[in-house]
Amino acid sequence: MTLRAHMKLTRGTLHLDVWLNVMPGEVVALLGPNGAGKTTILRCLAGLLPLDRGSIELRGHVVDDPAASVFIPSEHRSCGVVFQQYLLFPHMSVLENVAFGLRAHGVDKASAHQLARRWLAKVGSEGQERSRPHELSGGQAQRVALARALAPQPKLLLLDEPLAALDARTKIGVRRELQRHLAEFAGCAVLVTHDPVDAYTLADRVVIVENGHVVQDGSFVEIAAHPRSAYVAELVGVNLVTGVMMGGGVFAVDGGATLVVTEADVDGPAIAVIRPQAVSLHVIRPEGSPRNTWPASVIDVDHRADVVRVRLEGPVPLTAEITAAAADALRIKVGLEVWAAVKATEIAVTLN
Amino acid sequence: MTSRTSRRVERSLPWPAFGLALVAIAFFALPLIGLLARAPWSDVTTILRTPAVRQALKLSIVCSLCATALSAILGLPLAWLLARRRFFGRSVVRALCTLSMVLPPVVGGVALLFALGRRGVVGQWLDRWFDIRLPFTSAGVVIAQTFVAMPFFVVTVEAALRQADPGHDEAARTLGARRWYSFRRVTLPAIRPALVAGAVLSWARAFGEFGATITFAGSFPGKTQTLPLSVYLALDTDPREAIVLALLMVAVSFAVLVALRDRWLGGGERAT
Repeated sequence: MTLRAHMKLTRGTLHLDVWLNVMPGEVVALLGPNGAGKTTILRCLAGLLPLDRGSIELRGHVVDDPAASVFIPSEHRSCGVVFQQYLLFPHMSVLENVAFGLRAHGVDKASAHQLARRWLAKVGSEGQERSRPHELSGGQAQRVALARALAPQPKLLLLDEPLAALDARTKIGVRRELQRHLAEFAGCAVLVTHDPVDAYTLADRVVIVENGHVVQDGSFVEIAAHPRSAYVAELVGVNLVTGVMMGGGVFAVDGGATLVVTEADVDGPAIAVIRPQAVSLHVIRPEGSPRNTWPASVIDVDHRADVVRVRLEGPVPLTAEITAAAADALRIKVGLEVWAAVKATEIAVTLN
Repeated sequence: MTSRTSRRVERSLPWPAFGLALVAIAFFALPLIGLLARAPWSDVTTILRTPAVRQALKLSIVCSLCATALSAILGLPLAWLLARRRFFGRSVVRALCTLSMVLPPVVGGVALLFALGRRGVVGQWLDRWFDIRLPFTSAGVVIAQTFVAMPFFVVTVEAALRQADPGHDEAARTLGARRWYSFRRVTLPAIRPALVAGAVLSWARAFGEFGATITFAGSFPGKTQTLPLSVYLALDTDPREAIVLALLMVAVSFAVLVALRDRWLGGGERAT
């Protein structure tokens, strides 16, 4: 176990009480609404905010424990942070920014610059060494911020909404690169986001934080299938189906099936986002307006207050949410063979 | 045509305001014109070459630069304390440290005398234990000038420190920078325009300082008689010398303002 933390802290109206364990090489996404305490958790882990109670242990070393009067400040914690607004030093060149951490650790200027150059090349920012941060686009600044955080080789990498400041187009490319760098990173990584697609694509495990507490913890697919509350269902209870946009409004689901979608002029690896409420279930194959229909078998039924979440297996694996009345009419139960249908207009495609 | 008319309407001031602005410009320009008109141009070089004038100029420059340096060395930590630390009584401390900006300089000089004079609360111990006497010495001039000039540095730099994003300091800390390294490499460069502006303002205040200096340090030629004191004393003995000395001060101050205006003092977005 590399990171073990029990964080208790009161800040204004926020009462934080969170357990968080992260294995080496694991990427954990903290997912939750604004004000849930995600950024506060990151600041505690980074050593920018001392805990009121609890403890943080990184690689067997206690770095914060108020009961034992232990507090290792940020500069001695070896954790790299990619801040939401990147916070590149405006008066330094890109190269000096990336070399800063190494210089602060006492590496001489020539070696630090050489290493910084290597990191910039690694994140695809070669040729920008002499630029000033204000000359960079959002995507470029994000790459530089990542290189700067990784250069001193931290044990813990913290990313605060790493993609939130980017426009939709840039996001796709940067997300793919980030995925690659996170996969290569050997330490623990914790990522804060409010976007389920980011959590799904970047993290191995998702921790849902609400009002300063962890409400659910697990893989994205597990949580989406069994959201513990209506709130979690709302937040992550969307179906994310990976596949490839073929152009012409055809989405090829990994595994062979195809879906008709409204986005006609995009292609490449993509994720189709389908709300469970948009999936309708039928005993016989429906005809008419829904353009996408496929046979599926029920593998899980989750009865909630007045809705039923039905997990389906088949060419398009996903979860449908239907009314209790509809479930009764269908006599839904595990093992039942049904037809699932989704309108093309109900499928949102985001390039991966 | 229409667009041109509307643009002129938007940009031009109403004529009473325009008239008042002209009065304001004249208000600043006329005294200068008065000095220039009465200047004994044929004797300027002779007067400037007299040892008394050169002594006063040298003393003024050396003392005001020392006062500026002292203001920066003591004022920067003070500004940082006021801007970044919350402590009980902070606003009282801030008021105390900027009081001399609004205090009549003579009052400041009297207060300094009672504090650091030979019989002052602190001065008597300085005298007895260290044999240090500040009043009526060049060091006393520097003390008097620093007393009135430092608040200008503190106020300017504190404002910049408040505006500067503390996030950059935090980013530096997560990258392994200790407090001092981060302050030197990240915080200071971010507020450099304010440091320069604060130094220039406090220098200008020190260079022109009169009341506190004459009260605390007196007016000994070559020792404590700075240019403003010389101007005042020359008015009685030789008004022509007073005009030349006054013009000399105007020239030095004006040169500094013009040289720094565009880069640091309200000349562009970079200024604070």
